[in-house]
Amino acid sequence: MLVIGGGGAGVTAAISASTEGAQVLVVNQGPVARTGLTMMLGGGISVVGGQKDPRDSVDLHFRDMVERGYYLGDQNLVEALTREAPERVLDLERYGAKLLPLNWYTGKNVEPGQSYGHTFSRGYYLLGSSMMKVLRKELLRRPEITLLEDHFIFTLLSSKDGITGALGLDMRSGQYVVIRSAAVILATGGAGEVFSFTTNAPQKISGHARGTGYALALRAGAKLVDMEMTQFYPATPVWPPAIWGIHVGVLEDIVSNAGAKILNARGEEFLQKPFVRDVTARRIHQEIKEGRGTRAGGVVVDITKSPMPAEEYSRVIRDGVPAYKQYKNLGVDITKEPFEAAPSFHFQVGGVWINERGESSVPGLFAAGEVSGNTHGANRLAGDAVPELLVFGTRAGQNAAKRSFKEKALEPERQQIEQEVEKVERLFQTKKDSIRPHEILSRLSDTMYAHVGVSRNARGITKAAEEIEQLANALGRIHVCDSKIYNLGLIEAKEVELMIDTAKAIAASALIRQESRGVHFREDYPVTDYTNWTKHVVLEQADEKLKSTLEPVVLTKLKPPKGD
Amino acid sequence: MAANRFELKVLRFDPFSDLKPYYKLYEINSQGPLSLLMALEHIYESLDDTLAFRRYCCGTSRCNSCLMQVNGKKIRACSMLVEGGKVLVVEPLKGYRVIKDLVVEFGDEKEES
Repeated sequence: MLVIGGGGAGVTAAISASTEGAQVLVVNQGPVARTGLTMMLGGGISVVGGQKDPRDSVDLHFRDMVERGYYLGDQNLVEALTREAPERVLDLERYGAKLLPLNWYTGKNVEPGQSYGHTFSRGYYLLGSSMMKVLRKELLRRPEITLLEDHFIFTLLSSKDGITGALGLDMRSGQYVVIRSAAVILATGGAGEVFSFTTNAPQKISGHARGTGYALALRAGAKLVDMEMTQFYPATPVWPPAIWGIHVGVLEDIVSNAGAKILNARGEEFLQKPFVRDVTARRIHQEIKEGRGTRAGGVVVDITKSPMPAEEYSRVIRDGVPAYKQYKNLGVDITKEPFEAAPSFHFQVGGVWINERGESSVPGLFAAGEVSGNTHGANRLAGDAVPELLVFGTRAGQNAAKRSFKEKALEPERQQIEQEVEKVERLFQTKKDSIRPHEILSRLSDTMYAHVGVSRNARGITKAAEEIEQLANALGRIHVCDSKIYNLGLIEAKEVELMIDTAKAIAASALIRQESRGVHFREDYPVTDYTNWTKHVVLEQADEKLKSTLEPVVLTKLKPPKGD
Repeated sequence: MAANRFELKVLRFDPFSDLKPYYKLYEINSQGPLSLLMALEHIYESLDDTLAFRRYCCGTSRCNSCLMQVNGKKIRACSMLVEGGKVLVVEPLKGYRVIKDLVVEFGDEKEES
C-alpha cells in the first residue's frame, strides 16, 4: 500500500499499517523529519492527559471541539479523536519521545476558559521537530516500510472501481515513477501557500504546504468538505523583512503574560479582550484594510514594555515564544523593538471527507491529518491537530492495510499515465509568451488572500474566481528549464496547476456558504444560521467541473442550537 | 532601509550534464538584510531558475534542511543574515552525496544541533 506524505499523519499511518503486517511504501517530497508542517509545530498537544485539571474529561474535550467547531464537525470523528488521542500520544513516548506537561514553562494553570478555547488547559508539550525525529526513527526500524524521499506525486491513478495507484517524479533522477496500489493514503498536509501570507511559508520560501493533496483527491473523484473553513492566525510578522512569515506562536500568551500591546499605525489600541483568534484576525485585518496599518501592511506588536518582573519576562519569552531565538539570529530582538504583523493563513480546517476508518468517498483512497476535512468543523482549537494526525493516521493505516490484503493492485491505465507525462513534457517546450510558474502562483495567492481570506463577500469571491479562471488559462504558457535532476521549476509548475484546483474549491465553497461560522466570515452574511446552515458544503469534480451539494453533519451526542 | 548589495559565489553541479563543479556568481540587491535562504529563493525566482536548493524548510533553525557551507563554515541558510558589501562562497554541505548544486542526500546521519 502507498502513503503519500511523510509528515506526522503519513508516518503514523505507515507505522500502524506495518504493525498490521502490510508492505508499505511511503513517498515524501523531501527528507522525512526535515520537510512538511508537522516538524514546524510549536509544541502544544491537546489531549486529556499530561497537564490535566482533575475536573477535565474526554467528554469535555469532545464538547469543546464540537461547540467551538460550531457544530460542523462530524461527531463520530470527534468521538474517536477525543477518546483515542490520550493513548495515541503515549505511543510517541513508547517510540522515544520526551513528553512534557503543556504548561512546563509557566508552571501554572491558566484560568478555565482561557486556554485557546479549551475549557481546561489539557495535554502535553512536544516540539514538532522532536516528534518527527522520533517517528522517523520508528519508521526506519520497520522492515515492512520502504521510504522514497525527494519524490513528488502529481496525480492519483484510478479506474471506475477505485484507486489503482499514483504517478510522480523521482526528483533525484528526473525519472517518472508509477506506483501500483489498491490502498493509497493521502497525508499531504495543508494549503497555506494558496494564500500569499501564511505561517506555512516562513521567509517566503517553502513549497511544502501548497495544498496539492486536495486537488489530487478532487481529480480522483473524492468528495471535499467545507473547504471554505480556512483558519487564519491573527498576527504573524511582516516587518522587519528578515522575519517575514515566521510564526510567533503564542500571541495570546505574550499579550496576557508579557503585556504585549497590539496597536495600529496611529499607536491606538483597537482590540477587545479576551482574544478569540478568528475575531482578532478579522479586527486586525479590518484595521489594515481601512488604512490604519503600517507601510509594511501590518499592525504593531510591542512587547518591549512588560509589567512583568524582568526574570519572569525573559523566561516567558525564551521558553514561550518558539521563534525568539530565530528572530535574534536574523537580527531582530522583539524584547527591544516592536515588530509589525498581519493575519496569516495557518491551518486548512476543511478538506477531504473521511469516515471513522479514514476512508474517503473513493474506494481505496484514504486520508489522514490536515488534508482531511470533517473533524474540526468550522474552527480548529489549538493543539488539536496532533491528536487528529495520530488518531486518524493510525486508523487510516490499519484500514488501508486490511484493504491491501484483500484487494489486488490493478494495472493502472496507460492512457492516463501517457497523458500526464505529455503534459509535463510540454512544460519544457519554448513558448513565445512564456511565464514562470511563480508568476501564476503569486497572482493566485495574492487574490486568494485579498478576496477569499479573513473577511469575504460575494463580489470579492466572484472577482477572485474570475482571476483564478484567467490564471488557469495561463497554465499552458508555463516554461521551465529542462534540468533532469531536482528541477524546482518543474515541481513548482505542477504544484501551481494543482493549487489552482484547490483555490477554486475554496472560493466555490466560500461563495456557497451564505452565513458566517467559525473561521469563515461573510461580510454580507455576518450571522451564523444554525437552522439552515448546519450542513457540510460538499464538492466533487467530474469532467473538470465542480459540483456542489449540502449534506447533513453527523450528530451523535450533541445537538446544535436552534435558530440564528 | 539601506540598500543591500551582495554577491554569492555558488558552487553549481548537475551530475546529469556537468563534467565537474563550477562556481557561478550572482549579484543581489535587496531592500535590507535578508537570510541566505531568502537570497537563494530570490536567485531561483528572478535570476536563474536552474539553481537547486532545499526549499521545503521550517525557516526556524529546526529542520536542518538548509545546512550548507558558507566561506568554508557549516551554517543554516535560514538563520544566516546576509548584509551589504559581502561576497559569500556558498557550497553544499561537506561529507554528503551531492544530488545537485546545494541539494545533498542526508541519509540517516545525525546532525549537530
